[in-house]
Order: sequence, then structure tokens, then C-alpha cells
Amino acid sequence: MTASAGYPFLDEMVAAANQAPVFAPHAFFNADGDCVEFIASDESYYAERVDSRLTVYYGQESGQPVGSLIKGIKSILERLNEACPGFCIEVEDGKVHLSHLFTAAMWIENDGKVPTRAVVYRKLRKIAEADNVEVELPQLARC
Amino acid sequence: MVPALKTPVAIFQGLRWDHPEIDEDDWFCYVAKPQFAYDYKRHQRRSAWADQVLTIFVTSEWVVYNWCWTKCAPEDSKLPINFQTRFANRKL
Repeated sequence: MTASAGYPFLDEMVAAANQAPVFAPHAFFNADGDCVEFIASDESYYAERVDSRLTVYYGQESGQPVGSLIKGIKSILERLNEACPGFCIEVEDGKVHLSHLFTAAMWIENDGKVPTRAVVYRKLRKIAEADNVEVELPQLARC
Repeated sequence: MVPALKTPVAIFQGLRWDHPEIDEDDWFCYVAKPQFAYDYKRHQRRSAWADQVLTIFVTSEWVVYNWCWTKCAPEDSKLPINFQTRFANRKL
């Protein structure tokens, strides 16, 4: 591969990636963006917003969901704590199964007007369940 | 991503999520149309996807918190789809 004139950052990224560990599905809480990002595959993706909270990442080759971004995590947790205080039981050491977050966001956003939304949420939840993905949410440690 | 931030084709201010509690009035979205993209699976540089733009999201404290490829608007291939409703103002 030749160096990309004007794109040294990209060349550095390619070089560093050769030493990267083997990919595993993961999710993380981004405090700056108040969002949880889920990366289920190492396939390159494009993003498509589904509703006010969920953006789905679709594989550039497969066209299938390969990740997502859930926005407004603080308000989801606040609503959950008000509506279902028992949710805290699902939190262990500040970690929660990502599938629970998909369920919570789906319930909050569901207005019954766009049935395909629920299909997307369920699909992502299934992927997160299959990979047993957890996410660390420091705020939940207060539960 | 760095060249994209230095030479964007558009900058939007105010991220609209149709949800007052998570709308971000002072945040920015930088839009770029780079020549190259990164192939995560093969760890290789490749040509950018012709029907997509790179969107980079920046908080009011200038933290880049997310970036991703997004389908182009049908009416303008340099802008992201639904740009009219996703952002409050166009700054560039």
C-alpha cells in the first residue's frame, strides 16, 4: 500500500490496526455524547437514524445491522428509575446487559406508529444477547 | 478524520433528535466528502463510498464524540440525508 498523500492520519491508523487485538463485539458509554455505542462486527458501516434515540449501523457489504448508537442515556435511566425501580436489580457493579437497554429504549420510544422500529430494536437486542454484551454505566452504580 | 475537520464541505449547528430532552443546540456536525475511507475488516485504505458523506459530531466543548458514514441527500450529494430536519442551522 502506498502512503496517502495528505492523509497521514489514515496511514497511521492502518499501521496501528495491524497490531490490534482480534475483534470482539463490544459496547461502551460515551459520557461526552451521553450515548452508548455498540459495535457487533468489524465490518465497515454507515449510519441511519431510526428514531430520536436510535441510530443503526449497517454493514457496507452485508447491509445488515452491525451496531448502533443509543442517544440520551441519562434520560433513559432517569425514566427507568422512576417507572421501574426494580431495574436496578439488573445492574451489577455498574454494568448492565445491552439487551436490557435496547428493551428500555424501545419501550420509551414506541408510539405504535412505526412498527418497523420495533423490528430493528428486536434485531439489535438479539445480536447483543447472542454476544452477551454488557456496558458499563457509571451512573447506575448509584442504584 | 483530521483533514475532514480542517476542510469540511458543510458545518451544521444544533443537533435535532425530535426530543427536547436530548436535542443539543450548541453541538456541531462537520460534513466531509473525503477521497478515502478505512476498511475496518481488512485494515486497509479504500476509496470512499460514492453515495455517502462522512459526518463528524462535536460537542460545545469541542470534543469529537462520534463519526460515521451517512447516506447522501438525494438533492445534494455533499450533504447527509435529511439534513433539513436533523440540524438547526447551517454555518458553512
